[in-house]
Amino acid sequence: MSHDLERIRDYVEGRLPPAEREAFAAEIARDAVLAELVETYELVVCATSDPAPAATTSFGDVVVRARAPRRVPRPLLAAAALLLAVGIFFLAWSSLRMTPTSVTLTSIPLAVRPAPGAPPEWPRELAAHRTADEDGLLFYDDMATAQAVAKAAKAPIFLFIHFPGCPWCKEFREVQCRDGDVIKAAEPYVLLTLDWRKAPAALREDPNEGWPLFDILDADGRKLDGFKGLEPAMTVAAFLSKRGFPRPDWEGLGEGARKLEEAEEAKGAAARLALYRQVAAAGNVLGDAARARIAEMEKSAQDALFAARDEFLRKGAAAAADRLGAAALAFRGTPYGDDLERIHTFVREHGSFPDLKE
Amino acid sequence: MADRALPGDGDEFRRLFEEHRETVFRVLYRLVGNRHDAEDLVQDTFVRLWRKRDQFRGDGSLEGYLRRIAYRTFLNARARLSRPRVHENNGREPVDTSPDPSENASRAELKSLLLAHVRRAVDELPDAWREPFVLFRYEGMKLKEIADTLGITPKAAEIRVARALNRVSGRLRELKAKYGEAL
Repeated sequence: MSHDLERIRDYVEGRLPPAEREAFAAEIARDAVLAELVETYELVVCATSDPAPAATTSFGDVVVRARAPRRVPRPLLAAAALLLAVGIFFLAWSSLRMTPTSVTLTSIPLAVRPAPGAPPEWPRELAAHRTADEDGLLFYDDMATAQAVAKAAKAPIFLFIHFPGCPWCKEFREVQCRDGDVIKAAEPYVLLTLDWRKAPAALREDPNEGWPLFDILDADGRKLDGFKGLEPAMTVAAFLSKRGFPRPDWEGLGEGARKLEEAEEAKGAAARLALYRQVAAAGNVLGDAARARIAEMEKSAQDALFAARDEFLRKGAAAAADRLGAAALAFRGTPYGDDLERIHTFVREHGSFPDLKE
Repeated sequence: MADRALPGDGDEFRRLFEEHRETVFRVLYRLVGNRHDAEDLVQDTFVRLWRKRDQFRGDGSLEGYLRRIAYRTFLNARARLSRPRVHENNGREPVDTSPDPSENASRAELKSLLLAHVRRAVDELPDAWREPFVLFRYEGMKLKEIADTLGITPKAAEIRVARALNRVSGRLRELKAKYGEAL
């Protein structure tokens, strides 16, 4: 094609040698498409045959242009303008970001909740609870404690009713209570021993039918089963095992109870909260107690926050900042403390109280 | 001038300018379509040549190198220039390019109208076709030289010139189909 184009041009402009021109003319005569292109190019040459004017630029013009400040190309100007606009936008955006109007709370709720009631208590005896030691079975000696432990452990009570001076009762303590099978069979139970004279009336049966008296009670003190008289250790063990009660996780309960006690003694909200959280997952009274104490802390942090907001409205930023600083210190190391510290910082830096968001 | 470095001396550069001014002006005039912009770009081209004189390796023709610089200068300025026209009327009355040839028109008038249509067809070519076509038509450059100037392959230059010619040819066919007898 290039050959054709350049030949067309050279033909039309009379630059072909005579022989080649004649051959090309013959080719044109045979090829209608080529003929049309040649005709078109002839017309183009006619239509655009005006000569270019002569240049008037002098070397001095070039020197002046060379010394003039460089002309910045439009695309560069546009790019610079764009960069400037982006920069201004970024600065404005940063400025807006640097002056926030709100603080988002991660832990302290904003909804006002009623003050929690007294947190549930747990039997302190759980911390040191054991079914037996080297001297044999270990009995609680008051009904209320045994019931509290039984409720916490969701365990039944094995009640041994004795009477002062009763030799069979003494023998039971010295023999059956030290028997390995009995000790093993007693593990699912909370063990309770009562003087017949102090036992609940409903359980104070006629002792003439045999000493001692033995009952299995539920955690509310209702009798489930029982027998009278001294029986061999094997029989006692069989009686205790008969109902197939599961063994409570005495070790886990003991550990939970000890952690709750430790939390009460702990110095610092962070340590206290950490211990409560370790127990909070338990589905028993210990878990209830831990969760209630966490709710108490949360409520206390919320109270401190709202009090600081009131302080801000009544006395201004400085007083609010002081109160928030003290509260943040009291809850230091906890998520509540972090929330309070962020608000404290905001009030101190901006002199205003932020909008609070959850 | 080929196969040697560009002058670093003012007097020698002046001689180079005088020697190539017309060539550069002509190319730019055909590309931008008016004298004023062409003169402006000639100055820019030689300023650019002076600033880049160290980059010329002397391993090609200086004229080709100058044409490439002129074309780059034109490309940089194209956005701010009005749509170039191949043909400037040089102060004459503008030609009416869309008349209907009447039966009473003389042969000379018809020829004039036909050429006006051709000019318009060239003016309206897309830049990518018009620029190589202008160099082909006015500068008599070979396709290889056009490719070298425009920074494209010879094949691309060939295709663009051919398409330009075909486009103009097509416009003429349309015109003849419409006014065949009168033309």
